[in-house]
Amino acid sequence: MTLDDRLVSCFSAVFPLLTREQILTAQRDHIEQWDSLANLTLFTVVQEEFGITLDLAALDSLSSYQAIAQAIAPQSTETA
Amino acid sequence: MIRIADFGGEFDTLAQVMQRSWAENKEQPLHYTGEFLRSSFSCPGASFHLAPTVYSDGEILGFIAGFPRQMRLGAGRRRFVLTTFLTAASEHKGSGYGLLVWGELMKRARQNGFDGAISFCVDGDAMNGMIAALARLHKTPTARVLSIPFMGGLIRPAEEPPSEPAEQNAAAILMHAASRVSAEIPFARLWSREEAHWQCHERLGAVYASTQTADGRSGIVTGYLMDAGEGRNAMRCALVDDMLWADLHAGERTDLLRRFMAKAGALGARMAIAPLPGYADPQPLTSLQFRRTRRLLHCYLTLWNGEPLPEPMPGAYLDVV
Repeated sequence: MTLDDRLVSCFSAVFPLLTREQILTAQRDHIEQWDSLANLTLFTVVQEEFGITLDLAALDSLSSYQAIAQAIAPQSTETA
Repeated sequence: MIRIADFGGEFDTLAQVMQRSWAENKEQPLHYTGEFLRSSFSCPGASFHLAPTVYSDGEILGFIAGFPRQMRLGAGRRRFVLTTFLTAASEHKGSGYGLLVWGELMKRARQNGFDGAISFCVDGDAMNGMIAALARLHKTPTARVLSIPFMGGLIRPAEEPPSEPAEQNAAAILMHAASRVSAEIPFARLWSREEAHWQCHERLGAVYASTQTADGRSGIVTGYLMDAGEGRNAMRCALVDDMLWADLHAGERTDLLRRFMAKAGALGARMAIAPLPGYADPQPLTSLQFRRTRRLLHCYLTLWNGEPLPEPMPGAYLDVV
């Protein structure tokens, strides 16, 4: 599985109603369900899936699919 | 650098963060001051370690406090943390820092030998819709066990404090009266002498009235004073914590509550607010013209030692903070 496949599955676990295409362009400000609980859940699920530890600042700064993908790419052995 | 750490004791800063954050709530917020928060942490057993705080270069982004409570759960005695003051800084709401500290408090309480946690959520508040999923995320079995309505009553301004008999044994009366809470109430607070003394005498704004009859019957009402609202709507309130009628007769109960209100009124309170978790007869409140408020609080229990979560309860005796 590519990094995108794994990250999309993380998003799907948190936002089951979004399509893959919607996930790839997802931004916190544009998705109603992306509330504080969804944000913390996504933060937790991504860390578990990729076996990495994100800085707590990521809760504020990782506000889109692309931002998260860029943040985890250096720590992941996969390529997008 | 953002980090979770023990609370550092910046009470005034925390009060400002709480006031800004809570001002956005639908309900009229209570005015928690730095002095009040400092006093809260002076209660026996309080610890900054059980107040995990999210800091960013000294700025507080998220905060929660847990205060130890010995509780009777069914026939057994359990140690709980009572969670309170959950706050996410206004500028960072939606990020999850408030939820993060809730999970951190669960972890710390578990590591420190507690059996579980008590959490309250205001009906209609976003947290109320999140706590079940949050508990699953943190793998902490949690269930709603009780919903707590409130009653409020106006206090007429008192020209002078009521004359009171000496009440030097209030802590002993509190402990005795609490021990008389019906066994049908499956979840009830147990007091140490130090806790009872703090409750009656040491906490900021403490107010109580107690009765001890010649034939040995006794009861007590305790609470504390707190300002609510802002500007023209500002009002000092007496928040009732313990309403322990024990073996007092109906008229004595009403007299006791009346004396509590008179004492609170003499200290500037214009309204008394009492939670009704189901352990105390509400008739004295009704007799003194208390009315139901819109406030409804849901109580959640978290247990992590493999003990089954209790079914919804008919009532509980606990402080609602």
